[in-house]
Amino acid sequence: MTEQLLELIPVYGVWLMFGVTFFSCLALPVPASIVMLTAGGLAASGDLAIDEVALGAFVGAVIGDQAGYALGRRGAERLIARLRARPARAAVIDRAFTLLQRRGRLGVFLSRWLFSPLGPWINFAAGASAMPWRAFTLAGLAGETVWVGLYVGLGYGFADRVVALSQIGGTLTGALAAGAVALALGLSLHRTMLARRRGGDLTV
Amino acid sequence: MRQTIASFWRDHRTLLLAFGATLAVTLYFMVRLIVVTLYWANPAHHDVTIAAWMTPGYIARSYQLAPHVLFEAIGYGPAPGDPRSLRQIADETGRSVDDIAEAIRTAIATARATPPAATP
Repeated sequence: MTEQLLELIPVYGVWLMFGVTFFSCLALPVPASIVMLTAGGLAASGDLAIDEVALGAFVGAVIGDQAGYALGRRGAERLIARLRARPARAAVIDRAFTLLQRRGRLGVFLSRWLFSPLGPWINFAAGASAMPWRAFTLAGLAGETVWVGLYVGLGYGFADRVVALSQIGGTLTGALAAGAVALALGLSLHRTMLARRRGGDLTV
Repeated sequence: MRQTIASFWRDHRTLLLAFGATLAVTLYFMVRLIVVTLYWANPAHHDVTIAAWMTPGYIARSYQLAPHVLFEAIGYGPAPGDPRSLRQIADETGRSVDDIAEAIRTAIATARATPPAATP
Protein backbone atom coordinates (compact mmCIF):
# COMPACT_ATOMS: atom_id res chain seq x y z
CA MET A 1 0.00 0.00 0.00
CA THR A 2 2.91 2.32 0.80
CA GLU A 3 4.38 1.85 -2.69
CA GLN A 4 1.08 2.80 -4.36
CA LEU A 5 0.83 5.88 -2.17
CA LEU A 6 4.39 6.93 -3.05
CA GLU A 7 3.54 6.62 -6.75
CA LEU A 8 0.86 9.27 -6.26
CA ILE A 9 3.28 11.89 -4.88
CA PRO A 10 4.37 13.25 -8.30
CA VAL A 11 0.71 13.22 -9.44
CA TYR A 12 -1.01 15.00 -6.55
CA GLY A 13 1.95 16.73 -4.86
CA VAL A 14 0.78 19.24 -2.28
CA TRP A 15 -2.72 17.81 -1.92
CA LEU A 16 -1.39 14.36 -1.23
CA MET A 17 0.90 15.76 1.47
CA PHE A 18 -2.04 17.55 3.03
CA GLY A 19 -4.26 14.45 3.01
CA VAL A 20 -1.59 12.09 4.30
CA THR A 21 -0.60 14.15 7.33
CA PHE A 22 -4.24 15.06 8.05
CA PHE A 23 -5.37 11.44 8.23
CA SER A 24 -2.27 10.28 10.09
CA CYS A 25 -3.20 12.70 12.91
CA LEU A 26 -6.53 10.85 13.20
CA ALA A 27 -4.87 7.46 13.76
CA LEU A 28 -5.47 6.22 10.22
CA PRO A 29 -2.64 3.91 9.14
CA VAL A 30 -1.04 6.18 6.52
CA PRO A 31 2.77 6.26 6.35
CA ALA A 32 3.06 10.06 6.62
CA SER A 33 6.72 10.07 7.62
CA ILE A 34 7.72 7.94 4.63
CA VAL A 35 5.68 10.12 2.26
CA MET A 36 7.35 13.26 3.63
CA LEU A 37 10.85 11.78 3.28
CA THR A 38 10.08 10.67 -0.28
CA ALA A 39 8.57 14.02 -1.27
CA GLY A 40 11.65 15.73 0.18
CA GLY A 41 13.78 13.44 -1.99
CA LEU A 42 11.75 14.26 -5.10
CA ALA A 43 12.06 17.96 -4.28
CA ALA A 44 15.86 17.57 -4.22
CA SER A 45 15.85 16.49 -7.86
CA GLY A 46 13.67 19.48 -8.77
CA ASP A 47 10.52 17.45 -9.43
CA LEU A 48 8.57 19.09 -6.59
CA ALA A 49 8.82 22.46 -4.85
CA ILE A 50 10.11 21.92 -1.33
CA ASP A 51 8.21 24.87 0.19
CA GLU A 52 4.91 23.63 -1.24
CA VAL A 53 5.58 20.08 -0.01
CA ALA A 54 6.40 21.31 3.50
CA LEU A 55 3.47 23.71 3.64
CA GLY A 56 0.97 21.08 2.46
CA ALA A 57 2.22 18.59 5.05
CA PHE A 58 2.25 21.20 7.82
CA VAL A 59 -1.26 22.52 7.19
CA GLY A 60 -2.62 18.96 6.94
CA ALA A 61 -1.00 18.00 10.24
CA VAL A 62 -2.23 21.09 12.09
CA ILE A 63 -5.82 20.70 10.88
CA GLY A 64 -5.63 16.97 11.60
CA ASP A 65 -4.58 17.68 15.18
CA GLN A 66 -7.49 20.06 15.62
CA ALA A 67 -9.90 17.48 14.22
CA GLY A 68 -8.53 14.84 16.63
CA TYR A 69 -8.88 17.23 19.57
CA ALA A 70 -12.46 18.11 18.58
CA LEU A 71 -13.36 14.42 18.17
CA GLY A 72 -11.90 13.65 21.59
CA ARG A 73 -13.78 16.51 23.13
CA ARG A 74 -17.16 15.63 21.64
CA GLY A 75 -17.01 11.88 21.47
CA ALA A 76 -15.31 11.07 24.71
CA GLU A 77 -17.72 12.58 27.21
CA ARG A 78 -20.22 9.76 27.18
CA LEU A 79 -17.54 7.05 26.92
CA ILE A 80 -15.59 8.46 29.84
CA ALA A 81 -18.72 8.83 31.95
CA ARG A 82 -19.40 5.15 31.39
CA LEU A 83 -15.81 4.13 32.15
CA ARG A 84 -15.85 6.19 35.35
CA ALA A 85 -18.76 4.19 36.68
CA ARG A 86 -16.26 1.95 38.47
CA PRO A 87 -14.39 3.83 41.22
CA ALA A 88 -11.08 2.03 40.60
CA ARG A 89 -11.19 2.96 36.93
CA ALA A 90 -12.25 6.51 37.70
CA ALA A 91 -9.11 6.92 39.82
CA VAL A 92 -6.89 5.78 36.96
CA ILE A 93 -8.65 8.06 34.48
CA ASP A 94 -8.36 11.00 36.84
CA ARG A 95 -4.66 10.35 37.33
CA ALA A 96 -4.07 10.18 33.56
CA PHE A 97 -5.99 13.41 33.02
CA THR A 98 -4.13 15.20 35.82
CA LEU A 99 -0.87 14.15 34.18
CA LEU A 100 -2.10 15.47 30.83
CA GLN A 101 -3.08 18.78 32.40
CA ARG A 102 0.29 19.14 34.10
CA ARG A 103 2.68 17.75 31.49
CA GLY A 104 0.34 17.92 28.50
CA ARG A 105 2.22 20.56 26.59
CA LEU A 106 5.47 18.57 26.54
CA GLY A 107 3.52 15.41 25.71
CA VAL A 108 1.79 17.06 22.76
CA PHE A 109 5.06 18.54 21.50
CA LEU A 110 7.08 15.31 21.71
CA SER A 111 4.30 13.07 20.38
CA ARG A 112 4.27 15.11 17.14
CA TRP A 113 7.70 13.91 16.07
CA LEU A 114 9.76 11.92 18.61
CA PHE A 115 7.03 9.48 19.70
CA SER A 116 4.93 10.06 16.59
CA PRO A 117 2.93 6.79 16.72
CA LEU A 118 1.36 8.11 19.94
CA GLY A 119 0.38 11.45 18.36
CA PRO A 120 -3.23 10.72 17.32
CA TRP A 121 -4.05 9.15 20.68
CA ILE A 122 -2.66 12.17 22.51
CA ASN A 123 -4.94 14.34 20.31
CA PHE A 124 -8.03 12.38 21.36
CA ALA A 125 -6.92 12.31 25.00
CA ALA A 126 -6.18 16.05 25.02
CA GLY A 127 -9.68 16.78 23.74
CA ALA A 128 -11.31 14.27 26.06
CA SER A 129 -9.53 15.63 29.12
CA ALA A 130 -10.43 19.20 28.09
CA MET A 131 -6.79 20.27 27.93
CA PRO A 132 -6.79 24.06 27.32
CA TRP A 133 -7.15 24.57 23.57
CA ARG A 134 -4.51 27.31 23.39
CA ALA A 135 -1.84 25.20 25.09
CA PHE A 136 -2.70 22.20 22.87
CA THR A 137 -2.56 24.29 19.70
CA LEU A 138 0.70 26.08 20.51
CA ALA A 139 2.49 22.87 21.51
CA GLY A 140 1.04 21.18 18.42
CA LEU A 141 2.24 23.93 16.06
CA ALA A 142 5.75 23.72 17.51
CA GLY A 143 5.79 19.94 17.30
CA GLU A 144 4.45 19.76 13.74
CA THR A 145 7.06 22.29 12.63
CA VAL A 146 9.76 19.95 13.92
CA TRP A 147 8.06 16.85 12.42
CA VAL A 148 7.58 18.29 8.94
CA GLY A 149 10.90 20.15 8.94
CA LEU A 150 12.79 17.06 10.09
CA TYR A 151 11.33 14.57 7.63
CA VAL A 152 11.02 16.79 4.55
CA GLY A 153 14.47 18.24 5.34
CA LEU A 154 16.10 14.82 5.77
CA GLY A 155 14.49 13.61 2.54
CA TYR A 156 15.79 16.68 0.73
CA GLY A 157 19.28 16.47 2.22
CA PHE A 158 19.70 12.72 1.82
CA ALA A 159 17.58 12.18 -1.27
CA ASP A 160 19.32 8.99 -2.39
CA ARG A 161 18.87 7.48 1.09
CA VAL A 162 15.11 7.98 1.54
CA VAL A 163 14.32 4.26 1.57
CA ALA A 164 16.93 3.60 4.26
CA LEU A 165 15.82 6.66 6.24
CA SER A 166 12.17 5.56 6.05
CA GLN A 167 12.94 2.15 7.49
CA ILE A 168 15.32 3.40 10.16
CA GLY A 169 13.08 6.34 11.13
CA GLY A 170 9.94 4.20 11.28
CA THR A 171 11.61 1.55 13.42
CA LEU A 172 13.23 4.11 15.71
CA THR A 173 10.00 6.03 16.40
CA GLY A 174 8.23 2.69 16.90
CA ALA A 175 10.82 1.66 19.49
CA LEU A 176 10.64 5.05 21.22
CA ALA A 177 6.83 5.10 21.33
CA ALA A 178 6.54 1.52 22.62
CA GLY A 179 9.39 2.19 25.06
CA ALA A 180 7.66 5.31 26.40
CA VAL A 181 4.42 3.39 26.99
CA ALA A 182 6.33 0.48 28.60
CA LEU A 183 8.13 2.94 30.86
CA ALA A 184 4.88 4.63 31.92
CA LEU A 185 3.28 1.24 32.65
CA GLY A 186 6.41 0.09 34.50
CA LEU A 187 6.32 3.19 36.71
CA SER A 188 2.65 2.60 37.36
CA LEU A 189 3.40 -1.01 38.35
CA HIS A 190 6.20 0.13 40.61
CA ARG A 191 3.92 2.62 42.36
CA THR A 192 1.25 -0.02 42.80
CA MET A 193 3.77 -2.43 44.32
CA LEU A 194 5.06 0.23 46.74
CA ALA A 195 1.52 1.07 47.78
CA ARG A 196 0.76 -2.58 48.49
CA ARG A 197 3.94 -3.01 50.49
CA ARG A 198 3.13 0.06 52.53
CA GLY A 199 -0.36 -1.27 52.98
CA GLY A 200 1.22 -4.35 54.52
CA ASP A 201 -0.21 -6.89 52.12
CA LEU A 202 3.26 -8.27 51.30
CA THR A 203 2.74 -10.91 53.95
CA VAL A 204 -0.75 -11.86 52.81
CA MET B 1 6.49 -14.74 48.18
CA ARG B 2 4.67 -16.97 45.73
CA GLN B 3 1.43 -15.98 47.35
CA THR B 4 2.36 -12.31 46.96
CA ILE B 5 3.00 -12.76 43.27
CA ALA B 6 -0.22 -14.72 42.86
CA SER B 7 -2.30 -12.09 44.60
CA PHE B 8 -0.58 -9.29 42.71
CA TRP B 9 -1.32 -11.09 39.44
CA ARG B 10 -4.94 -11.54 40.48
CA ASP B 11 -5.41 -7.87 41.36
CA HIS B 12 -3.41 -6.23 38.60
CA ARG B 13 -3.57 -8.66 35.70
CA THR B 14 -4.41 -6.03 33.06
CA LEU B 15 -1.55 -3.76 34.10
CA LEU B 16 0.96 -6.63 34.14
CA LEU B 17 -0.18 -7.94 30.75
CA ALA B 18 -0.08 -4.48 29.20
CA PHE B 19 3.41 -3.91 30.59
CA GLY B 20 4.64 -7.26 29.26
CA ALA B 21 3.11 -6.65 25.85
CA THR B 22 4.60 -3.16 25.40
CA LEU B 23 7.96 -4.43 26.63
CA ALA B 24 7.85 -7.18 23.99
CA VAL B 25 6.91 -4.67 21.27
CA THR B 26 9.78 -2.39 22.36
CA LEU B 27 12.27 -5.27 22.22
CA TYR B 28 10.99 -6.27 18.78
CA PHE B 29 11.53 -2.72 17.45
CA MET B 30 14.99 -2.53 19.02
CA VAL B 31 16.11 -5.78 17.39
CA ARG B 32 14.58 -4.63 14.10
CA LEU B 33 16.38 -1.30 14.40
CA ILE B 34 19.74 -3.10 14.66
CA VAL B 35 18.94 -5.37 11.70
CA VAL B 36 17.75 -2.47 9.50
CA THR B 37 20.69 -0.24 10.41
CA LEU B 38 23.22 -3.00 9.70
CA TYR B 39 21.55 -3.71 6.36
CA TRP B 40 21.76 -0.09 5.20
CA ALA B 41 25.27 0.37 6.60
CA ASN B 42 26.47 -2.23 4.08
CA PRO B 43 27.91 -0.39 1.04
CA ALA B 44 26.49 -3.09 -1.24
CA HIS B 45 23.01 -1.78 -0.39
CA HIS B 46 23.75 1.89 -1.01
CA ASP B 47 22.54 2.08 -4.62
CA VAL B 48 18.82 2.82 -4.73
CA THR B 49 16.66 0.04 -6.15
CA ILE B 50 14.61 1.45 -9.01
CA ALA B 51 10.94 1.64 -7.97
CA ALA B 52 7.74 2.69 -9.72
CA TRP B 53 7.30 5.84 -7.60
CA MET B 54 10.62 7.32 -8.69
CA THR B 55 10.93 9.96 -11.37
CA PRO B 56 13.76 9.76 -13.93
CA GLY B 57 15.10 13.00 -12.41
CA TYR B 58 15.23 11.44 -8.95
CA ILE B 59 16.99 8.31 -10.22
CA ALA B 60 19.47 10.43 -12.17
CA ARG B 61 20.27 12.45 -9.06
CA SER B 62 20.68 9.34 -6.92
CA TYR B 63 23.14 7.86 -9.40
CA GLN B 64 24.81 11.21 -10.07
CA LEU B 65 23.94 11.25 -13.76
CA ALA B 66 22.54 13.99 -15.97
CA PRO B 67 18.75 13.49 -16.21
CA HIS B 68 18.80 13.64 -20.04
CA VAL B 69 20.80 10.39 -20.10
CA LEU B 70 17.87 8.54 -18.55
CA PHE B 71 15.17 10.36 -20.50
CA GLU B 72 16.97 9.40 -23.71
CA ALA B 73 17.32 5.81 -22.54
CA ILE B 74 13.58 5.42 -22.03
CA GLY B 75 12.66 7.55 -25.04
CA TYR B 76 10.49 9.95 -23.09
CA GLY B 77 10.89 13.71 -23.06
CA PRO B 78 11.34 15.48 -19.76
CA ALA B 79 8.42 17.65 -18.73
CA PRO B 80 9.77 20.51 -16.65
CA GLY B 81 7.49 21.41 -13.75
CA ASP B 82 5.34 18.38 -14.50
CA PRO B 83 7.13 15.41 -12.96
CA ARG B 84 6.23 11.89 -13.99
CA SER B 85 6.83 8.74 -11.98
CA LEU B 86 7.93 5.57 -13.78
CA ARG B 87 4.40 4.25 -13.22
CA GLN B 88 2.87 7.25 -15.03
CA ILE B 89 5.38 6.99 -17.86
CA ALA B 90 4.58 3.29 -18.16
CA ASP B 91 0.84 3.97 -18.28
CA GLU B 92 1.21 6.75 -20.84
CA THR B 93 3.51 4.84 -23.17
CA GLY B 94 1.84 1.47 -22.81
CA ARG B 95 4.99 -0.23 -21.51
CA SER B 96 5.53 -2.07 -18.25
CA VAL B 97 7.35 -0.50 -15.29
CA ASP B 98 9.80 -3.43 -15.36
CA ASP B 99 10.57 -2.71 -19.00
CA ILE B 100 11.34 0.96 -18.28
CA ALA B 101 13.32 0.10 -15.14
CA GLU B 102 15.43 -2.35 -17.16
CA ALA B 103 16.18 0.35 -19.78
CA ILE B 104 17.22 2.69 -16.96
CA ARG B 105 19.44 0.07 -15.31
CA THR B 106 21.16 -0.57 -18.64
CA ALA B 107 21.71 3.17 -19.16
CA ILE B 108 23.17 3.50 -15.66
CA ALA B 109 25.53 0.57 -16.22
CA THR B 110 26.65 2.04 -19.55
CA ALA B 111 27.18 5.51 -18.07
CA ARG B 112 29.19 4.07 -15.18
CA ALA B 113 31.34 1.98 -17.50
CA THR B 114 32.14 4.99 -19.68
CA PRO B 115 34.64 7.39 -18.07
CA PRO B 116 33.32 10.97 -18.07
CA ALA B 117 34.59 13.03 -21.00
CA ALA B 118 37.46 15.27 -20.03
CA THR B 119 36.41 18.86 -19.78
CA PRO B 120 38.91 21.51 -20.77
